[in-house]
Amino acid sequence: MTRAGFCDSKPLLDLHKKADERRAPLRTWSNACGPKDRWQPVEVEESRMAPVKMEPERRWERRLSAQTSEGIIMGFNEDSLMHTAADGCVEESVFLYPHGLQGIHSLQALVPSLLRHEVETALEKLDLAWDRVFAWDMFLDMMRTQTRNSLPNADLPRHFTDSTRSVLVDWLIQVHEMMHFQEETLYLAVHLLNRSLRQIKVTTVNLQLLGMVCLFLAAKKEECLLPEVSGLCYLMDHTYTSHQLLRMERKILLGLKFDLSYCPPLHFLLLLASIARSSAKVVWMARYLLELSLLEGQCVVFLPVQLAGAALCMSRQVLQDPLTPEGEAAWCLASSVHVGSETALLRIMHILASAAGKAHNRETCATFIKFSSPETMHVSRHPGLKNTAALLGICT
Amino acid sequence: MEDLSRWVRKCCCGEDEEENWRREEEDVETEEPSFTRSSSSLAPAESVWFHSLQVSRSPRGRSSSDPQGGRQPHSWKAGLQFGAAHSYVSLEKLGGGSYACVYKGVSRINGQLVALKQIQMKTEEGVPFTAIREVSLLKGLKHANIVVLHDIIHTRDSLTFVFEYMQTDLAQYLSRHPGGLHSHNVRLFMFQLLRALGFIHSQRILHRDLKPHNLLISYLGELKIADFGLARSKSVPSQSFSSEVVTLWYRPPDVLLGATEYSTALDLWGAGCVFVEMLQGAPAFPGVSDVFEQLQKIWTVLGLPSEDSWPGVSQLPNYKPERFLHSQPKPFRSVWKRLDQLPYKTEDLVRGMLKLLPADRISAQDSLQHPYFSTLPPPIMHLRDTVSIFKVPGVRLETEVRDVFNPGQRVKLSLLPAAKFW
Repeated sequence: MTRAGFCDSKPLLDLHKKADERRAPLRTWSNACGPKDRWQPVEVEESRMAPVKMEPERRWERRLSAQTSEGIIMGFNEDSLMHTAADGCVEESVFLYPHGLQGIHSLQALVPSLLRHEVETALEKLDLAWDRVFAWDMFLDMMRTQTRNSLPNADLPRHFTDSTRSVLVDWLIQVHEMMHFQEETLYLAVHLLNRSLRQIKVTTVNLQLLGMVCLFLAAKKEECLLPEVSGLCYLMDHTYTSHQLLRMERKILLGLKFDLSYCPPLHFLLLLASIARSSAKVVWMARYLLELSLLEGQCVVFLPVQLAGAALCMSRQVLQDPLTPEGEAAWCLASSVHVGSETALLRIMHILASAAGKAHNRETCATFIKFSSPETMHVSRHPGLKNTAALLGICT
Repeated sequence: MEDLSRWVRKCCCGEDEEENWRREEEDVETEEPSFTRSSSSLAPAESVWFHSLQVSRSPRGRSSSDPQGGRQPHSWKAGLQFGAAHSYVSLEKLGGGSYACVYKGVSRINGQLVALKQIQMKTEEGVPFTAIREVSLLKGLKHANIVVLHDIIHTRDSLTFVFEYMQTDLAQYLSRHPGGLHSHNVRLFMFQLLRALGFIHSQRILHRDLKPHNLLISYLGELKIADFGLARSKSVPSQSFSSEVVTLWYRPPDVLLGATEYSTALDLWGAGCVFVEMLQGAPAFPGVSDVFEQLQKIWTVLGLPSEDSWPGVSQLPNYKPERFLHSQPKPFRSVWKRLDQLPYKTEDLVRGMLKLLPADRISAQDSLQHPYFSTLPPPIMHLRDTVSIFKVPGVRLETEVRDVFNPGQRVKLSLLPAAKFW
C-alpha cells in the first residue's frame, strides 16, 4: 500500500546507505543486532525527513477532496481502489481513510441512508455490533472480508467426489449437534474443510480425521468450552490416535497459513432477515436451506451474502406469507444489498431447490432431521418443499 | 456414534482400510511442513519499514524488508526461508507469560530484530486456543498501532510467532520517567491507543486485556497494542464471556460486579485507566487483594452507584452495598492532582472514559474527535490505517522532563539504550 512511498524515498535513503550496502552480509547482520550505535540520531532524522519531502503541505486539501471514489461503494472493490491509488499520486495511498470522515460522506451519496440506518439498527438488535457507532463500519468490513471466503471453483481433488464430501459434512453436522456448539462453529468448520481439501494432500482414509480436526479448530476459535482430544478420538471410534489428530491439526494450520477468519453466511442471513422484518418461520426455513447449502459442493464459489440472500428469498417464496406494503418495502430494502448479483442468486436457488426436494430421502439427512423438530417449527417437513419441480418453478 | 463414524468412513473411503493405513504413513512421512514464502506472510514487513528502528538500521536497504518490491531475490544466505526455525537466532529471554515465553531474536533472512513468542503445546489440547485466536486475529489486523506478526514457525513440538521488535513498553517507559509523562507525549500515546481501539472495535474485536505492559512503544514514540491472547472477535450473537479477563487494576466496574454482557466500553475503561496512569505516573485504581477492594477504590473516586444512578446495578452478582463504604463522587482534579494543572478538556475526556455505566462511556471513535486532540495537526485525523502518525509533519515526541537515568538533564529520546523489552 505504501509502496509508492518507498519508491520515492529510495534515492533519499540510498544516498546514505551506499557505503553500507557493500559490506559483507555477516558484518551487516552483526551490526543490526548489536546495541544502538552512534548513527542512530541521523537515521531518525532521515526517516522523518522522507515523508516531509514526499508530501508538501499544500497537497492536503487536494487529497481530502479526492476521497470520493467509485471503489468505496460497499467496500467491495478494495483492490481496484488500491491500484488506482498506487498509480496515481503518492499521497492518496497514504491518506485514503476507508472508514474515516470522508469515507462516510462519500458513501452517503451512494448508499441510501435508509439502508444504512436499517443495517445499524439490525446489527445492534442482533447484538452483532458492540456499539452502534461501529455498526456501519462492521457491515462494510463484513462485505469486504467475505470476498476472501468464496473459493475460485468447485473442483475437488480428483479422488474425492461431492458425495463423499457431503457424507462427511453430514457426519460433522451430527457431531456438531451432539456437542451443542454454536452454529457459527459449523459454518466455520465446513469452510475450513473446503479450503483444506484443496490446500493439503490427504488420502481418503484420513478424510474423516480432516473433517474432525476442522471442527476442532473451529471450536477453538469460537467456543468457550473445548472438547478434549481423546474425546474426539472416541467419537471416531479410535480409528486414529490422538497423536495423528494433533499431527493433522499442525498440517491443516500450516496449509491454511493460520488464517481462520471467516464471515459466516448465517450472520448475513440474520441481518437481512432483520432488515426485511421476516417472520420467525421464514427465518427458520431460510436457516434450514442455508444449512443444506453446506452439503452442496457447488455452493463454495458463492459469496456468503449471496447464499444468505438466496436462502431467504426462497424461504419467502416457499412459505408465501401474506404480502403487506410495509413488508414489501422492507424486503426491497434488504434485497438492495444484492443489486447486481441476481443471476448468482438464481443459480443458488436452483441448487437449494433440488437439495430441499430430495433432502428427506437422501442418506445425508442430518439437517433434515435437525430442522424437523418443534423448536425449529418443523420447517424441513413443510409441504412446499416436497415437490422439486414446483420449487424450481418458483425460482424462475 | 461409533457405528455412525464407521459408516462414514466406509462411505468416504470405500477402500480397504489396512492398505490405506500403510499408504497414509508414507504420505505423512514425505510431507514435512514446508512454509514457503508467501506474499501474505510478508505483507506486514512493508508497513513497518519506514519507522521501525531495526529496519532503518539495516544497511541492506529496502530489498530486505520489501521482497515484493525488490524484484531480485536476496542473495546472501541462500536457503533461508520464512517459517523455518533456523532462520531466526534467539538472543535473550524478554519475559514469560501464561502460555508463552518471549525471546529477543534476530532474523537471519534480513537482519531485523524480532520478538520470538514461543508457545508451549499441550498434548490434550494441541495448539492452545489462545494462540489460534491471537494469530487468526492478528493476521487480519493491519494497522500502524497494532503489533506486526512477521512469521509463524511451526515445528513438530513447538509453535513460535515472530513479531516485530519494539524497544520498550509503556510500563517500562513509565517507570523510567516517574511522576507522570510530558502532557504532549500523553496526548500522542492516547491518540494512538484510541486509534488502534477504534480500528479493532470496528473489526468486531475486543482486546480485553489492556494494560501498560501490553502497549509497546518504539523509539520514535509509536505505540502498538500487543498480546491478543485474550482478545476475541464478536462473532457469536449474545454469547457471554467468562468474567475472568482483564488484569484487576484496569477492569471496569461492571465486569468487577459480575456483568457478563461485554462491549467496547470494556476496553475504553482500560484506556481511561492508562490515560490517568500516564498523567499521574501511578495507576489510577491500584487495588491490592480482591475484587471488592478494587471496587472500593473505584467507588472512592466515582461514588457508590445506586439503583437510581445505574439502573439494574443491584441485580449484578457482586453488588453488595453493605460491604462497601459509602462514598460520594469527587471531582477528578482533586483526586488526580495532575489534571488540575492541565486544561479542562483533559479532565473531560478522562471523565468520558471512566464512566461507571458502560453505556455512558465514550466510544473510541468519538474520543478521537474530542477537543483534547484538537491541538494535534489536523491531517492526523485522516491517515490511512497502516500509516503511522509520525509521518505527519510536525508530530514528534517531546523530551520527558524526568528521567531516572539522567536526573536533571534532558535526554534525546533517540539515544535511549535499547531496553530489554520487545
